[in-house]
Amino acid sequence: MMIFENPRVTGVMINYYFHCKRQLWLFANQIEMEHSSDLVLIGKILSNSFYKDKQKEIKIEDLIAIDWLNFEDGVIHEVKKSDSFEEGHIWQVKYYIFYLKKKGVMVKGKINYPKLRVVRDVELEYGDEGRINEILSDIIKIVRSEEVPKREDKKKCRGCSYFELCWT
Amino acid sequence: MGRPYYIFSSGILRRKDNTLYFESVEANDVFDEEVLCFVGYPDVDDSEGVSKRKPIPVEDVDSIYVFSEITFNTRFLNFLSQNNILLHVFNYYGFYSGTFYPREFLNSGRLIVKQVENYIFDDLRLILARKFVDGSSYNMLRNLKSYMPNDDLKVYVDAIEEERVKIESCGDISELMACEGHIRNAYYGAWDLITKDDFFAFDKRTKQPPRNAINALISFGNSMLYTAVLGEIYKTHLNPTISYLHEPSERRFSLALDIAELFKPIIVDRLIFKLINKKQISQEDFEVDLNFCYLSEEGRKKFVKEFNDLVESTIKHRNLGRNVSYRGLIRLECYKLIKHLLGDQDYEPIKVWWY
Ligand code: SF4
Repeated sequence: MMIFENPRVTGVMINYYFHCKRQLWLFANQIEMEHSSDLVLIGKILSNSFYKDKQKEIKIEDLIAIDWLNFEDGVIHEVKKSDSFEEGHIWQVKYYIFYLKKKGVMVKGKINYPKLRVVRDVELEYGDEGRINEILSDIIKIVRSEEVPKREDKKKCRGCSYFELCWT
Repeated sequence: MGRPYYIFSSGILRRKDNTLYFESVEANDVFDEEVLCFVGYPDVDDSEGVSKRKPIPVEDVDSIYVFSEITFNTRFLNFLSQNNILLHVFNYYGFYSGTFYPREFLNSGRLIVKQVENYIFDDLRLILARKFVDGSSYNMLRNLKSYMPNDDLKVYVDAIEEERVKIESCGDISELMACEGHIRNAYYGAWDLITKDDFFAFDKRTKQPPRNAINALISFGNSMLYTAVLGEIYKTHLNPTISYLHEPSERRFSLALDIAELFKPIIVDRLIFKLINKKQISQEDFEVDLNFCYLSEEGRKKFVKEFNDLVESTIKHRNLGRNVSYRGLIRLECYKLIKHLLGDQDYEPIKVWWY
């Protein structure tokens, strides 16, 4: 069994790991927020309208959901609605590349920031695989813990769908 | 985010594609806002003047309240289920019959385990049960105090304050229930001094069936609140059948009873005081049948409209720094409970701070 298979570590979890450990814990323990939040909606609208022509979301073994895949040049794309770059975005895509590589598929990645009108290239670099393994075992430790990680700096919470739960 | 739809007119509810349709049995009352009493009903543009159908886009629907004779089929119910819409049914007299509660769409194994654990262990259960009594009695007290300086109220305030001190020392649920009963008696004892209207004299609390006008108002209001709370629980990961102050066997969704206790004074009771004191509701709005009393259809419509307005009105939330509706406050209460159950943050019940 691969490390990411029990419990299942999804791409979103990698992103949350970098954003906020509490968010990661809540999400992984199935406390997802109702999908009525405006931001989720904006996310949906963005990926629907900006990239309608491309092949839509591809799910692989329910672990990773790639926003679209260009078969010809082997590039996976991730769309991010946020107006800033985040480390978690990069590692999420690196994780996809890593994951597919384990499955025998070699790809490169791109992150699309429609709001910034910027596209970022992502590749698996030297040392990344070791780092991903570390991240994965750390995630598993957090997720299985009895304790909910404490809230972090409120600045991070802007736009987070757990805001009301965390701060009430 | 949708809104609740309240249907007072008889007819058929249907699903067609992604839209719900209401078809009235009487052609004339379809567009009559007064008859339908759809709160916030969308305008209809019918070119021919008379159209029998009233479309309701499904995204616009949060829940449906049926107060009339309505026909629908399983296709319709399945559609509600797919869209996570609750349907609440009231009988001819306006008494709550039940809720069509679709399959849960939010589940967390870990949370359910914690919910059960907090029920099974008496000490853990008692902690939560006490909080509900503490919160609800605080809010009752707040109501009475907001009607001071009516000096006559003082004895009731004192009685409640004395009883509240005992909450912490109640050793089990039945003692706690008795304590809650004393508080409630003292609280209701003060009502005649607030409403000052013979027609709404309290006498004593009668539930099923309510025997006088004030009891009819309380029963109807509490049912409306119960459904609103249930609707918010549905949108969280909490299981509505596991409760702490009330016995889980008491009603199907007993957690809604627990949470409703906190909001009865804040929402239902205050609304009743307002309706009576501003003479928005009066003797004509009630009917008496043998030995029970209920709100007439007109009375129900008025109440529902006012209830909806109140629940959607907002106040500034201190911690969140945002405006939150009363309905939103109910949701936040669910979140606080979740945090308590997960061992994240001890539960503190809502205590009115804004009036
Ligand atoms: S609201 Fe803040 S503390 Fe809570 S999960 Fe989101 S980022 Fe973390």
